[in-house]
This record gives sequence, C-alpha cells and structure tokens, in this order.
Amino acid sequence: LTAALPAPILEAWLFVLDSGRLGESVIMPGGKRLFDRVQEASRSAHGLVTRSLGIDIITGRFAPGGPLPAEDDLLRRFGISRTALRESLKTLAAKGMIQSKTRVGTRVLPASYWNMFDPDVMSWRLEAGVDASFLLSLYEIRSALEPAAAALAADRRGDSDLARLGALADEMAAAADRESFVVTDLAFHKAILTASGNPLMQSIGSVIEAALMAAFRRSAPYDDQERLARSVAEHRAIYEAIAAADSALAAEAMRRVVRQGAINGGVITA
Amino acid sequence: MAIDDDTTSGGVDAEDSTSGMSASRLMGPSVHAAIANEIGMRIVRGDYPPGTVLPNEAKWSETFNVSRSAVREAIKILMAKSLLSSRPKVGSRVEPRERWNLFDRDVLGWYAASPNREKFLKTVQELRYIVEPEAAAMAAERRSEQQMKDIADTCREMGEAKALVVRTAADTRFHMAILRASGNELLVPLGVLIESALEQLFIYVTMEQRDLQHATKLHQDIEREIRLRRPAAARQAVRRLLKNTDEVIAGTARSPKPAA
Repeated sequence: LTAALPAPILEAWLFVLDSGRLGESVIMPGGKRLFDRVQEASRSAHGLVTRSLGIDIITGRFAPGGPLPAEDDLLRRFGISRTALRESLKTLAAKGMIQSKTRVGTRVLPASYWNMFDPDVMSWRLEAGVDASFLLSLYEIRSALEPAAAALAADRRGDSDLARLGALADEMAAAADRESFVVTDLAFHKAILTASGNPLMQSIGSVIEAALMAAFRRSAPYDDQERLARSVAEHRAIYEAIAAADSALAAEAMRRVVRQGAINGGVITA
Repeated sequence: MAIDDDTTSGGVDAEDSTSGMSASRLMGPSVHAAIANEIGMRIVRGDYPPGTVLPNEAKWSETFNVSRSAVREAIKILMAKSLLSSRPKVGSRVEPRERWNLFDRDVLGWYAASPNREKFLKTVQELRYIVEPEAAAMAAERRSEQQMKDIADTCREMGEAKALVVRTAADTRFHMAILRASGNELLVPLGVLIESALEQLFIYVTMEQRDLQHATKLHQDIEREIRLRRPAAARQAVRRLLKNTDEVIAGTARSPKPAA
C-alpha cells in the first residue's frame, strides 16, 4: 500500500502517526499546515516529479556536470505526461539545478548554481539529510543575523510585535509537548526577524524556516526539565530586552540562545 | 476567434490555442515571462496589497493583449515565487508580504525598482553590514588557494576596468568570490542582494575618478587581509567599504541624477 502513495502524502501521514495528532491544525516541518500539504501534493503530479528529481540531484544520484536521464526514460519511470515532465524540468531549471541546451541535452548543474534560498531546494536539501557542515553553516548564519535582528527589533518594535513576542514567550513556557515547544520556538525566532523591520530579514526567516525547524528538533531541551526551564528563561530575557528597548542586551541575550542551541544540537562544544 | 473557455476549466492542461492567431499579439516563448514581470512588479510595488484578489485571466489577457494561456503561465511563475496563491473559485490572491521570497532574483529586482530606491539601498546596506564582514572573516580563515586567486583576480580587474559597467561586473564577482570562499553554503545565496545593490548604484551613481580610486583601495584592503589570513582585519576592512557605500548613497540622495 505504501508504495502506491505519493511520497509527500505518505510523509504527511507518517508525520501524523508519529506525532499522534490529526486535524487541520497539524503543522508540518516547514510550517505548512498538514491539510494544505496533502492538498498541494495531490494536486500536482509534476510537483511530485520535481521533488523526486530535485532530491536525486542533491543526493548525487545524478552527478553535477553529468547528463539527466533521457526524457523517455524519465517518462517511463514516473508514468506522467510529457507536458507534466517538461513542466518539472522547467521548474528545476528555474531553481538553477539543471540546464537544457538544444542538441546537447539536459545537464545537472554544479551545487554552487543551485538556488539554496528557494524554499523547495532548501526542503529537498533537508530531506536528503542534514550533515554536520550544513548545521555549522546554519549556526554561523544565525550567529550573524539573529543577534543583529534582536538589536534592531529593540530599536524599532511596534506594539503588535511586542504583544506577539510576549505571547510566544508565554506559550513556550506552557508548551504541552515537545513538538509544540519546537513550533513555538520557531515562531518566536521568526517574529524577531519580522520585528527587525527589515523585510530582507523576514525573507531569510521564511527561507531558512525548514532548516531552523530541523535544527530545533535536534536541539529542543524538552526532555530535560532543567535545560527546558533555562531555555524558556533565556527566550523571555530576549523579549524583555526588546520590550525595554535595550538593543545591546537584546543582542547579547539572543547570542546566548543561538549558542546554547548549537551546543544542545551537538554542532559546537561548550 | 479565441476559444475562451470560461473559468470552470478546472486546471486541465489546455494547449495554447490562441497565441499566434493574431499578428498584433505579443508572441514567442518569453511572452509569459514578460507578463510575469509586469504583474510581479505591480504586486511588489503595492498596486494589489496582500490579501486582495488579482484581476482574472480574461482581464489580464485583455490588458496586455496576450493569450490567456500566456497569462496562466505568468500566474504560475508568480505562484512559484510565493507572491500569489490560488484559491478554487476565488482566483489568485496576493500572499502576505512575509511569504515573498526577496532572495529570488526577479522578486528582488521588482523590489529594487519600487519607487523608493534610497530606502531599498538602505535596507540592503543594513543586511550587508551584518553578513559581509563575517563572510570576509570566514574567508580569511578558510579560503583555498584557488578561491584566493578568484578574489585577487576580480579585485585587479576592478581596478583596471576602463568602463563603469565592466567595473561593476568585476565588483560583483569580487564580492561573490568572498562569499564562496567563506565555506558557508548558506551565505552564497546572499550574493544576489549584493549584485542587485551594485546594479542600483551603477544606474544612479556617476563617481568621480578620485572616488573610484578610493573605492578600489578599499577593495584592495579586503583582498590583502583575506590573503594574509587576518579575520579581524578583514572584518574591519569590509566595514570601511560599506561605510564608503553609505556615503555614496547619501550623496545621490542629496543630488539625484535624473533617470535616463
């Protein structure tokens, strides 16, 4: 039976079984509602094929610089229409993963051409497996961005930003299970990027959201009461510094949280 | 003439039956890209605020005098960039701003073209101050010999460039080379920001010869610190360059050069 189900649907249901929850409000990795995800997945054959080819490229099954299998082979493998397949190839080309040239055929581009800041490419990258070097990259970029965003938020935050951050800090303290802790944690960090008032920050947040989710899953201190309490307190400290419009303190508090997350996730050592 | 099927087509793949039937119509494979460009620009500049429903296919097809399938392709492109979402029976709705991917080259281009260019440049500069000094510091620690050669080559090309357009291209490659040498795969996609900022500066700024020489020197400082593997000094050198760019932006704000 499982072989007959398209992968995203299967993945969505496994997630439900795994988390023991069901309903429209279930949030999938990447922050999408399960309901939307299943709808999306069942809507487009070409979406499934795009994802499948994307992951094959990222995992190196189709080597960078090498050719993509011939169209007819791909048609046989996926059993979709030629129109749908071409749609997929166009999408992959738009994401910088392949290049089609007349008479030469379609080639896989080297990794440096892939648009990593495309939400799909990012999520395929994560599905293909997260290695130590990726987690280190994520830690480095968070260390640069998030303390700066917290400082800007302290300077610029509006009343609604503040109310949202306060509510999320409360929610983190009251989280009933590991998954809701992780989801609230992610929402808190994204809310700070938004409160920075720089739309580019907000966009980075949306793009690396799936990566953050993966990292937070690894590092959530939910099973350790003492570390959980400390994490909740450290997040509240960020909120309070922003509320007090103290940018230096907000940056410092955020730096602590990012660093602790990397330590908990085994990315760096204390 | 056109087989204008109504809105109940239900997502069935219809072959393009209308393009090419009228000589006055826009034709060719890039029509839908041009339409996506036009609609995308209007969305980003705020003609259709987030949450509003976009005019339907028929309306756009009339506005631009193109086939409905070209409009449909264009809408698909904008959906892929998260500017639009499609709701059955409602049409295409503009997504909340926070879902827009500003690191998509096209979306960033539309954003840069929006009326307030000084604000755009300041927004980009704010992020460059956060990211680029760190990237340079990482490059100073990790660069390979080949990466160092790329940084040095582009820096030299910049200094030797006779035309501003050649110089800007080398400048962009210089900054990209540093991002690549940082060894952080998540920093590389930020290059599109720097590229866009330099393009904007190129369009609006005419720099005096001595300003150009000064800017070249600031780039050479960065190259040297990365070559000598001095992360802290590389960080400072990038900050000096960005401060200089701030001054250029402030200068153009005071005496705007009329757009050609």
